[in-house]
Amino acid sequence: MFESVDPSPSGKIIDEECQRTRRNMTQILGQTGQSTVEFVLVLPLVIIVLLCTLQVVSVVRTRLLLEQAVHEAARAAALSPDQSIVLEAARKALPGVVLELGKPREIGDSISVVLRIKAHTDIPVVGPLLPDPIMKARAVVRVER
Amino acid sequence: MNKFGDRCEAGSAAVLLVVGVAFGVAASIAAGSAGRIAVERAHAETVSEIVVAAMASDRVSGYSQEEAESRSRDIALRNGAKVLRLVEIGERISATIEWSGSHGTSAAVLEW
Repeated sequence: MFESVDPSPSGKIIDEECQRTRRNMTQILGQTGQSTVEFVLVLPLVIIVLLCTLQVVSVVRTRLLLEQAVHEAARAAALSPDQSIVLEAARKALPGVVLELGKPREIGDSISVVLRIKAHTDIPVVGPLLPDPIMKARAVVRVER
Repeated sequence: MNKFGDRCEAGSAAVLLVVGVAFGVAASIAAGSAGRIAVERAHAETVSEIVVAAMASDRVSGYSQEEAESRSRDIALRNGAKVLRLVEIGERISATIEWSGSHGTSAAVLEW
């Protein structure tokens, strides 16, 4: 019953343009929120990667503190034969550290100081998934007193 | 939306993922590397201080300069380090050691 209002060539072009526009609009409406959905899917992975980075930084920090602790313990071991003093010096730098001190010897001999610590991986989400690395630092000093 | 726009839209998640993971991995490697260098330097400083303290202690205890130097080199070796320079000038002792590629230098003044 209803024929094309304008059967002229220019009217046919307008019809085709309308159909193309309708097709495009359907595509656009079908993709609404696609970026948001993709972002939501990827964001957790990106956050996990960043948390892993924080965990690495945390472990490195513990390693540096352990180095400082062995420095303090070595100096204390050179000056005092008392193991509790050496342990106290180490734990001032890094609480929770375990000390292994060589056998007490005469003044002028060498003594070995070994410190161990389990670096707890406690960053949320990634921490429980990673093992707690056990770190060790050692120094040999001359007994001065 | 044109085809180019469609491709950009579909690739946005992949781009974000790749950029995020690359950034995270790069930051982890940088943190680990910086930490390793810092630990090496800290240990080198510790050992250089141990060496200079050992030599000072030996000299005060009556060892000759050569004996004290030899014993201090032994202490450095037992710490896995190599003595690059160990000098006693007047009442001042200075030591430079190398440990795992890092250098540490310490000095002490003898109190006789």
